[in-house]
Formats: sequence, structure tokens, C-alpha cells
Amino acid sequence: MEKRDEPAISAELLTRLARAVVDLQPALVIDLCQQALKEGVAPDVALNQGLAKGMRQVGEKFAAREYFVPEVLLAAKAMYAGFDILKEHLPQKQGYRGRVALGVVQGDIHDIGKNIVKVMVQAAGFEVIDLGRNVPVERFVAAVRNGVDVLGMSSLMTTTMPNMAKVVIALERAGLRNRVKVLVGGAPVTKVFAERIGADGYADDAYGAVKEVERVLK
Amino acid sequence: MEQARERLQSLLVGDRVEPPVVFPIVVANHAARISNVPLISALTDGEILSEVLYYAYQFYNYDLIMVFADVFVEAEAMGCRLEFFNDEPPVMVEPIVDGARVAESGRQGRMAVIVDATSRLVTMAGKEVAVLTSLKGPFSLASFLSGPEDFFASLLVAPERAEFFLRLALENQKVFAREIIRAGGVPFIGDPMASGSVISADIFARFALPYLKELVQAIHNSGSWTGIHICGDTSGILSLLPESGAEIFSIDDMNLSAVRAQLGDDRVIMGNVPTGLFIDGEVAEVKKAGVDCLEKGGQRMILASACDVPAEARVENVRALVKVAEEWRW
Ligand code: B1M
Repeated sequence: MEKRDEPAISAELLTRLARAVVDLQPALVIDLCQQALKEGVAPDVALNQGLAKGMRQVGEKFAAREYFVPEVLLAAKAMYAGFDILKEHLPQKQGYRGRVALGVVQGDIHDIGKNIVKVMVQAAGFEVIDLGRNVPVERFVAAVRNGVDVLGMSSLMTTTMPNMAKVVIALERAGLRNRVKVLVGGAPVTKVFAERIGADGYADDAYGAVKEVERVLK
Repeated sequence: MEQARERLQSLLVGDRVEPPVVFPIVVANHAARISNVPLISALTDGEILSEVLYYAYQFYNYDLIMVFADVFVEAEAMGCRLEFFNDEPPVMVEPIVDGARVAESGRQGRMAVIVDATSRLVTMAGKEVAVLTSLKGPFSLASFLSGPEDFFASLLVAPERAEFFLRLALENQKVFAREIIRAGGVPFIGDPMASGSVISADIFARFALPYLKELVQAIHNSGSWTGIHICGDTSGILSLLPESGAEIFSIDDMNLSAVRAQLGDDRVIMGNVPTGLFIDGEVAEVKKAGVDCLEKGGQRMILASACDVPAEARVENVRALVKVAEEWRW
């Protein structure tokens, strides 16, 4: 594929790609990604200036209460559909800025927020390993043992928040604490709580979560 | 002083009630905790559930009883798989997706535990206090049956699929509501997934409200009144709620003056002392929040917590809310 020297066309294409994500159109996203590759747009450019840009706008709409959870999840579906097309053309793994494991602590099934954080962190170029919800301490520890840069934990209930502290302690006991940055979040979690349990970072929304991941990995 | 039951009736027909009806929403988890009973026993045995709820009612001396175990009772009865813990609420590990069907009777699975606890409580205390029995709104139940992510996607791209689960959930809840009424309970609808923290007003109007309406209608047809509780920020959907036809609206932690303005002066509102205060707050803070509710909400209030009282709530804080009502004069 020859890279065409028509920046205006590709800029317009990228804008349409971003808009297709914002407009929740998976099929159109797929078409546009294929078209972008055909026209010689670099896959990482299509990813960052098309898909991820669209997803950022979706995040803004969510924060402004213009979009709600179903819309964000559908936009994410559109983004993933496009990503699947681009993936094969991306330089091996180099695409990722780091590896983040995310999970909701044991006893807690509130995973809507975690899923939104996941989408935004992925859109920012990180590989995300989704540990799911109701995740036992050992599974978090195992994820760190297998090698991740950041461990993110979510909890929506005051009753399950203490399980975050248990994970931090278990990581220390296993001698793994220095290998990973720990982030915590979820509606009842506060900065003070995060500091008290010895986490490296805290965010109160998905946007903040991306910024925290970037900050702790600097 | 009139008994709790009569005061509630007076409130519902529009009379001024003094002292106001008060109900920190104590359900299975906190009741089991203060009774020193493992939560799991209360969730799986109607007799134990009724005993812990009765104990809490007598211990705090509030004006309502609510039979509520956990949010997945009906979903489990219809085929979802849960994981149980000793002292935490259960978690759903698998939705049903295919093969979901309406329960054959209002006593299928743990729905029987709820109905059993209801009729026991009605026998124990029904003369003096109304027994409200919680059941899920069709929107929340449908989301559990199909799995929340799948359900959310359906709402936007395959509405007929969402409607299939909504119908199923509605039919099940009609059967359940009838059984609750037969046991002497008042069906009280909780619809946490229809929260304004999760879905837009448009989605609420199209996929939650019509089914709520039909369920309320069915409850009315069976001779009972009802209420609706929706968790989270509902400011965007409040003005639609009265269309459901329910008699009581229970609201979460949000500005009560604004809620009152939106719902109008006549509606009975139940709420809304933030649940976190019962854990971390001081007695004086709870009292202040309680007084605030009555001042902002006015005479047509049931003074209550914003959502269910957490298991680990401090006893003196729950007591403090009851005390606010006892000492209150209009
Ligand atoms: C790693 O770094 C990070 C960084 C940022 C992070 C992060 C991680 N994780 C999240 N963030 C942040 O970014 C996200 C995006 O901006 C944000 O995520 P959030 O999750 O905050 O926001 C979401 C996008 C939208 N918000 C939500 O999804 C939560 C909304 C509310 C209404 C809610 C819902 C929907 C549900 N619930 Co329940 N629920 C409530 C909630 C009420 C409320 N006021 O919040 C809450 C959380 N629930 C509560 C309760 C008590 C329960 N719920 C239960 C069940 C459910 C449903 C299944 C019905 C459903 C969850 C479905 C699901 N799959 O997630 C039960 C628990 C079951 C269990 N074992 O977990 C049950 C125990 C009810 C019962 N008695 O059985 C309360 C917790 C009280 C407490 N003790 O703290 C509650 C606050 C309601 C209340 N007012 O009392 C940020 O927090």
C-alpha cells in the first residue's frame, strides 16, 4: 500500500471515523477503517486520531451527562470493531503504552464504572487485562505476577472497599508491591482512602483514571 | 399516638401526620448484622428473614417493615446463577440469556423465602405496621436476565430483544406481586438499573416507564397500593415518575427541595438521608440531615434513608433518625 500524499482527504476521513464512533455506528467504523487502510493512512494514526479521538469525545459527553452508560458501551463496541481491523496492521505490540490489569474487588459486582474506565484506558493506547468483577485477592496478585505495569481496582461499596487494602497487603507479602503501580477508584473511594491503604493513585472518573495511569508510569 | 399503620394510611389519603412516618430502610443485611445472624441464613430462610426483620423493627421502633433480601431473588428464580457468601450479599455469576422463562408460581426459588417472610411478618406485626415487600422493577430484572452489557446494547441497537426480556420480567413480577399481596404484603418496587446514574431520560421513558406503569396497574388491580425506589441521581427522570401511578416515590441522595419542586406538593416522597452517614456520621449529623429532609420535603414525607441502611451502620445513627421523627412537630 502506497501512502498517498493527500493529507486533506485523510484528515477528513479521520474526522468521519471519530464521528462514527461518537454516533455509535460500528458498521460505519469498520468501513471507514478499511477505507483508511486502503488509502494508506497509517494504522496508528487511524487509531489515535480517529477511533481514540472519537472515544475521548464520547467520554466528554458522558461527563456532561449527554451520554449515559449504554451509549458509552456501544461507542466502545464501535471502537473495538475498528480496532480489530487496524490491529493486524499495527507494528507488533509496540502500539501499547503499557499494560494495565483492571478488576472489581471481591464481593462487589458493580462493574459498570470499571468497564467505562477500561474503555477509556484502552482508547488511550494501553493494553488492558480485564479481571472482571468479584475478583478474589489471589487473582489480583496472580495478574501482577504475570506482569502488568498498573493494577487498577474498583469498588462501589463501602463494605467491599477494605478488600482493596487486602490486595495491597497481599502484594507486599508476595514481594510484588514494587513491581506494580496500584490505582483505586469507584464512587465511595477517596484520595485519603487511597493514600491510607498505600495505593499509588486515585481517580474519581474514567478521564482521571487515564491521567493517573499516565502519571504513575512516567 | 396512633399506630404506625394508621399513620401511614392517613399520610396516603392526604392527612397531616404527627409524628411523621419514619423508616430508616433496614433490610436483611443490617437486620442480620444486629441480630448476630449470618446474612446467608436470612437470605435463604423465610423464618429467619422474618425474625431478623422483626427484631430490627422492635429494636429501633420505626414505622414500616420492608422485606428485602438481595436484588437477585427473582433473577435467580428465573434461572440466573449466583454465588453466595456468608456475610455479604450474593453476586450474579451468570445471566440466563436463552431459556429465560417466567416463574411457574410466585413462590419459585427464593421468591418463596420472601413470600414466607412476608406472611410471617404480617402475622407477627401486621395489625400495627404495614409490611412492604420489595420486588424488582421490570427494567432491572430484564437487565439481569440478559446480562447488563447485552441488555444495554439491545436498548440501542436491538430494541425488540430488550423488549423480549422486559416482557418476561414484567410477567414474572405480576405473578410475584400477586403472591406478595396474597401474603398480606404491599409490593414495593425497586429499580436500581433504571437509575439516572446509568440511563438517559429517553431510555427511561421508552424502556422503563411503560413496564413500571403496567406493573403498578397490575398491583392496583389486585387491590394494593405501591411505591417505587430508584437508586442514584434521578433528577432527569423525576418528572416522569408520577406517570407510573405509584403512591410513594423513594429517592436516593439528591437535593430534596428540587425533588419536591419537580414532583409537586402532593406526592408522598420517601427519603433521603445519605446512607454513608449511618456508617461514618455522628449522631448530630444524622439528626441534622433528618431535620433537613422534613423541612425541605414538608408534610408529605416518609422520613427515611436514601437507600438501604448499610450492614455496618452504627446503631446510634439509625436510632437518631427515628428520634428526629418522634420529636418532630409540624
Ligand atoms: C482503578 O481506578 C479507577 C478509577 C476510577 C474509577 C474506577 C477505578 N472505578 C470507577 N471509577 C470512576 O469512573 C467511573 C466512570 O466515570 C465511575 O464509576 P461509577 O461506578 O461510580 O459510575 C458508573 C458509571 C455509574 N454508576 C453505577 O453503575 C452505580 C449506580 C447504582 C445505582 C447501583 C447499581 C446500578 C447497581 N447496584 Co448497587 N448501585 C449503587 C449505585 C447508586 C449510586 N448512587 O451510585 C450502589 C453502589 N449500590 C449499593 C448497594 C448497597 C447494592 N447494589 C447492588 C446491586 C446493584 C445492581 C446489580 C442493581 C447494579 C449494578 C450492576 C452492575 N453490573 O454494575 C447490591 C450489591 C451486590 C453486590 N454484591 O455487589 C446492593 C448491596 C443492594 C443490595 N442491598 O442487595 C449502594 C452501595 C452502598 C455502600 N455500602 O457503599 C449504592 C451506592 C446505592 C446506595 N445509594 O446505597 C467512577 O467511580
